[in-house]
Amino acid sequence: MIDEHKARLRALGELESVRAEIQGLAETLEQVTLWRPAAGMGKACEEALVMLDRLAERFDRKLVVTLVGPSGSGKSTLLNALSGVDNLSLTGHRRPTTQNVVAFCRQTADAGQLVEALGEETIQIKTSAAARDLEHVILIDTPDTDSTHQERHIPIIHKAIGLSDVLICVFDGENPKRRDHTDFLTPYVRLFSGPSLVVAVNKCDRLAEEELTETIMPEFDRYIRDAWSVKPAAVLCLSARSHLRHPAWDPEAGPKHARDQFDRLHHLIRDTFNASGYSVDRRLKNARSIRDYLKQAVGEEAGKERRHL
Amino acid sequence: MDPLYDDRTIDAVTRLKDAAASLADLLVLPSRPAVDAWQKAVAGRLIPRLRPEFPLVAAICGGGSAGKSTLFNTLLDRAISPTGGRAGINRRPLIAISAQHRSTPGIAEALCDPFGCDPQPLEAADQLAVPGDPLLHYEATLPPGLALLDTPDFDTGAGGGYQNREMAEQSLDAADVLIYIFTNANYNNRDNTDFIARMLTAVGTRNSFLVYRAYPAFSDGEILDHAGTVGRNLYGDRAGQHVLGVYRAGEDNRVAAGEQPMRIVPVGDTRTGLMAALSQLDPRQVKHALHRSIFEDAMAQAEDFLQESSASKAHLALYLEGLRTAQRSCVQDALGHLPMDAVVRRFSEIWRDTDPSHVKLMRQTGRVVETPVRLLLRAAKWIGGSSDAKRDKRPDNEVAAAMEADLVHAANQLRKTAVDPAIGLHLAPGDPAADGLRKTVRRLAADTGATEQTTSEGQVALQIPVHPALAAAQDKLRSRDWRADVDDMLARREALGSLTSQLEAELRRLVGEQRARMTTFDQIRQTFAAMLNIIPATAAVTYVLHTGDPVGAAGIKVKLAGLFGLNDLYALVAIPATAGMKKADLKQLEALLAPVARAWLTHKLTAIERLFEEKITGQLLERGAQTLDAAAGQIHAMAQSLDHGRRVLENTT
Repeated sequence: MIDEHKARLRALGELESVRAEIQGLAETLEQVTLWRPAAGMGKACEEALVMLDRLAERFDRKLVVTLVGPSGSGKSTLLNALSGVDNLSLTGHRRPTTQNVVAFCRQTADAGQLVEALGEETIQIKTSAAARDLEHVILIDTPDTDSTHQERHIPIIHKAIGLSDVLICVFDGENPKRRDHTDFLTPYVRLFSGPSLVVAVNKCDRLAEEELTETIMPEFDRYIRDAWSVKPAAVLCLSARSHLRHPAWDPEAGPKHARDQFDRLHHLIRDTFNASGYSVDRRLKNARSIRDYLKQAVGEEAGKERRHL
Repeated sequence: MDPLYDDRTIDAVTRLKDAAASLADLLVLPSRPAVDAWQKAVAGRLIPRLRPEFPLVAAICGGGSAGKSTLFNTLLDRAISPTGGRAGINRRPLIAISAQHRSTPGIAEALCDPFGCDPQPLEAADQLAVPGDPLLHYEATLPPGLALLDTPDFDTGAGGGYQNREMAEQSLDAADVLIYIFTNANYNNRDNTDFIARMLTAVGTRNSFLVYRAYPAFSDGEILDHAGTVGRNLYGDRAGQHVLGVYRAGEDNRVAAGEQPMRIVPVGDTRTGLMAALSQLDPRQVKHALHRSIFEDAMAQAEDFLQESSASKAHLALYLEGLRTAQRSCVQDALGHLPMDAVVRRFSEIWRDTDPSHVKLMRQTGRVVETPVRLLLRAAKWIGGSSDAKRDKRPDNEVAAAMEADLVHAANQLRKTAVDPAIGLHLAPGDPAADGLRKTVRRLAADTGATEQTTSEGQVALQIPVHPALAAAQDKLRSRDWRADVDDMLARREALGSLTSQLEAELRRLVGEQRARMTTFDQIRQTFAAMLNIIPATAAVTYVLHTGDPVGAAGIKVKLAGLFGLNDLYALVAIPATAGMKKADLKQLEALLAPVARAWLTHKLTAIERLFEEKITGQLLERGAQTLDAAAGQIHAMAQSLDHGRRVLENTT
């Protein structure tokens, strides 16, 4: 307990120094008003400072692990599989697609921070005995990013991501390289350090095993690194549906094989993310990653200018 | 023959397209892409495809891994298009036509024409995985009236762009009907929906069959519900008219593995199987309906474009009118200190020199009459509270400096107006020129961004943005060496201010004319005219009072303000009446002086205007006038072709 407190204090100290660095950067940018990119960069710094403040507020709160992905990629199925409750978040083609944030945690009070930030009407809290061991983690499911309802969904997703510590980006294994989804996530991904990102290629049961392992996953791995220029904690192929208590497969369209990496994801969440003190580390890393991103962005712009001159 | 396809219609469309292209160039109109689109659609594509033996082209399209190739193979009953779980395998379109067409010349060429390439036969399946032009496959089982087109997906990303979008666009462009296959994961996808809706309905409307690849557990109700969403996304309220059928294809591992063909089942009101429905379509009828809808859209877009062009032309005319108004006012400003009194004095001298002797004698008494006027002038100055009464005694070199400053100031003002993104005009509300401009500004406000406001001084302030067609001329003007231009103008100022021999001759002619016109009675009255050494003051005032030319009058007012100060000027207006001048005298004065003032003004205004046009506004005005002229011709040509197009639409069904 003492150690935990110490770690927290140390982290707060370091966060303050990251804050100061960004603040310094923002002030420098303010002085060079004639430099065209300065205004935009300054704005980014401002936003980063707000995020850091939120991080500081969250130090003693639970780690928020968020599922984001396009319609039909199986976010809700994955949440259900991870929680061990088949009907936690309504899934399948019969449902109206998930329109609100669904949070899975040990007890309603755990999600207080989220309810406060998102508003009661946008979040549904689900508690269950299955969440007993999720002492330090809240799992949340978000509305889809890509449907014709996206105008309504995107502000919600934007807020939810702002409150998140770890992103699990869910892709539809049948068409993972869809441009609109990758583009949607790109600006968000920058705000997270690599170890705070998990890429989940779901519905891999729909793909032939050999093609999956030999072509699709290696290709997608390259694709995502090119698109995001970051190395995620893991790029996993999943068959979330296989891990429901009752997958209810169609007789003609059952799983084509049993290969998947659900256990690794499960382990990541239950053990790594759920470890006490992990959240503090994670948040610090994310803070550093924001700082590095800003520095790099300013550096790049300045470099461009130098070449110009 | 259908008038839609006859030579005169094709000519009219060609003329329409040429006129539109030329208008877009002339007026720098933003809607050019639309013009290009229908140009391409109507002129390029229509004709070769009208041959009776030309098959109906049905394109299969959808997102990555939706099952396009599996559907293609199923309809063809032969696995020639590679399938697999990995999205984005196929990188080029594959066209399948009946083997009967192998020997029909021109069919393969016309099919490949929209892709801008020659037909190439498919030799091996792996050719399709390499990006490139479409490949052609002859299939014995395919009916001769149907060509099937397998297309690359349009949603896979690569390096920040879409991998196949251009190719997919060409494919959809080449198609007469569409078979759209989608899954639960992408049926409501925003990006795909927008893309395909644009392709289907931007120019003409293509009909489509919807195929939903779904798990067997989906009920038909759900299939119809989601397909309904797709239909609405594609066609809006017109979905019922344009969706030709809804089918479901089962999610099935054996199908995916290529072990079995896809089972495509009609759902809801759709009764006929997909292949049968495709074969039953009459290619000529479908094409005719499509062409008619393309033609209708083209005409509607041309009509919009024509209106836009007319508005743009009106904008250009307004801008030029505004520029001319600004120039007139600058020209008058440039004359603010020109020695009008010197001109009138010279006129009086010429007049006196030619006076009969008895008048010369009488002139002595004139001095006496002059005194009360002087008193009155002084009173007027006192009433007006003017402090610049001394300005009429300005030494010559000071006048010269002021004239120089006037010219530079006015020229700078005009140049600024001419290079600015908008002309700002301040006009007196009663000014007829202002009224005309105001009306036009109000009428064109929405199209041009021109604005009208009333200033706190009660003036009308107009803002007229420059027309894009003049951007190049404006750039040229901006890059001119302005300092050199100003120096040059100043060097020529001397000639502008002085009494040129031309003006001297004009004055002499006027004196002669006046004398010749004088009646005996007038000649007696001339005794009064003899005291007209007070002329400089009253002359112009009389002119202001009696002339209907506000621009000219404003010019004189400016000059008088220079001589006496503005307040005095209005006080002076009362002079003729209170000085006891008779109406007849007033008339004579006016008859005498108006032509002098007019001659002088015209002379000087024209000279300065010429100078300003040479150095500042000339190119803009000239380029503008040429553009207006050319645009008027093209607008006329477009309107005529559109009339023909409208008649064609009335006569086809």
